[in-house]
Amino acid sequence: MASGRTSSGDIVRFDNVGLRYGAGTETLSDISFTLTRGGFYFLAGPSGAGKTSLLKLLYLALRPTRGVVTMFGEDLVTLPRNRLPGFRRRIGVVFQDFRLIPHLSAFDNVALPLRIAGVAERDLAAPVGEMLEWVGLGERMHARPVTLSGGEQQRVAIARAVVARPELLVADEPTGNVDPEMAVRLLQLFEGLNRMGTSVVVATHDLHLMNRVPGAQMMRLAKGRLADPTGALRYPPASRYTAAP
Amino acid sequence: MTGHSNLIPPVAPLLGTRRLSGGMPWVIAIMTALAMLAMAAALVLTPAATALSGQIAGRATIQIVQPDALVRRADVAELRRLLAEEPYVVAVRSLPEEETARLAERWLGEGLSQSDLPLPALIDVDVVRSDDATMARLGAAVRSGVPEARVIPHAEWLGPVARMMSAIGWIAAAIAAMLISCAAVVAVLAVRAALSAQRPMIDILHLVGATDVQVARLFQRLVARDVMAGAILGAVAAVCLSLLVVWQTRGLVAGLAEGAGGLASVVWILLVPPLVIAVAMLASRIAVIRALGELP
Ligand SMILES: Nc1ncnc2c1ncn2[C@@H]1O[C@H](COP(=O)(O)OP(=O)(O)OP(=O)(O)O)[C@@H](O)[C@H]1O
Ligand SMILES: [Mg+2]
Repeated sequence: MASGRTSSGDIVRFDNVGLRYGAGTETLSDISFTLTRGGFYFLAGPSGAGKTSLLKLLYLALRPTRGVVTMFGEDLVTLPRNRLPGFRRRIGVVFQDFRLIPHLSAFDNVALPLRIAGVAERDLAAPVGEMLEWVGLGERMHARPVTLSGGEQQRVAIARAVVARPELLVADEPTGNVDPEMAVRLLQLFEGLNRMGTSVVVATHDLHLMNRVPGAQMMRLAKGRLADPTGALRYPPASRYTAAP
Repeated sequence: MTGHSNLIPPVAPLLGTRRLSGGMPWVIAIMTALAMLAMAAALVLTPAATALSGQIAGRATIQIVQPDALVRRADVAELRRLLAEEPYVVAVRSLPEEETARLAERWLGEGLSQSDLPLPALIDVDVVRSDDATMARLGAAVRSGVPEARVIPHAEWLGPVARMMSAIGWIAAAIAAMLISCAAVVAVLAVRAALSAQRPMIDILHLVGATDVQVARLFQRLVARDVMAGAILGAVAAVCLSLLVVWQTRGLVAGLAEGAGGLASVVWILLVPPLVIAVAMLASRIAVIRALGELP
């Protein structure tokens, strides 16, 4: 099966994307890749390489300064601002710095995407509770972020990112503050979500973690450029889970 | 999941605060109270000025200064006869001498007799129109009969008073309008400050898919609380103050208020607080939506 340029299995497509903060040099240059629906991707690279910057483009916190970004089949560069919320609701994000809302309980933080999407109050308890159980925080539901450890806060952030079953999950160093055992557990959560069809992009330094997901693709950033020696990122073969028979 | 709710349920104060900024309700309260008082002044003064203008328009007093009482009385009779023939004269009323004396007593003290001090004879005349031409005709007619008589149109000396009352009334109305706008500006400044203080919160809300309208609602709720508290407080203060003033100056206010619209005026004054709330809410809503629209 040919890996067509604009296959319907693509969820994200970057074409010669560049990003510049202010007037300096480009933080990201000539980034071209395609994420297939249902794919699992690791984004690696040294500190300062631009991983977070690339993820910001993916979760629509920034727009590129040049190039074309296509997401869910639409050109994001020309997308009017009032359509961004609809797109963002299809994306779950684990921020590198968590970004929990300090005066809300763990429960309310995790429930936030559902409430914003208009889910009725009576339908919140089940999914939010389940998610908090999954990340091992069922007991700390009513705790505020300041009373949680760094790793616990990170798990709340992960629960918030996945609770609305996004089509695309973007996680920035999601296991940076947890012990190896919890890291594996969180990865299983991502894999479970991935099996249900969510495309996952995880930025991490943890090689050990990457080896635990067979079939995951590796994206390597160095000095703002994406290494793609085989061209597999640019023109991917059909994804693992939507592969042709 | 695709439901496009416009409201994030207020389970918890999402912005972490129930207040915008400490001072705002007080400022709004002061502005509301001042706007209501200015409005009251406008509603009393403008109709009173109109009423006064109506009273003085088309009126004149003829003054005959003649020491000899007999001649003076003859002059009065002559003028009455003469004016009765003028077509533009509506009414003629000569002030009885006792009344003139009473008027003079107020100024000069009691115990004056007619012979001590020659008082002028006074004749009030109503004419159809108060324009200069009519007054000139009246003057000519009077002089032709009694050359030493003087015609004094009322508008000449009460006109400036009426005009000033009217002007002050309009200035008060303008002040009320400006105060209401100021309340809106205060609300806009407060909500802008809140927006920049809450910027990290707003970013999180946006990134998890909140629309500008949803975010704006959160701030609207804060503004609404503070503006309403301020407007109600100001209204209560203004009403208490007005009642105090009315009670202190019963006679004068009653006289002035006769010209004012009574119940209609009260309704206008009570409309000020809702107007403050509406204008402040609208202005702050536009400010929030505009500020959010400038974010990436
Ligand atoms: N808001 C910003 N304004 C200006 N420069 C920025 C901004 N954010 C990041 N940069 C710069 O862009 C470069 C890439 O930063 P980025 O955060 O994307 O790196 P990273 O790969 O995520 O690093 P780490 O592994 O340490 O998280 C850095 O040199 C950084 O200084
Ligand atoms: Mg980073």
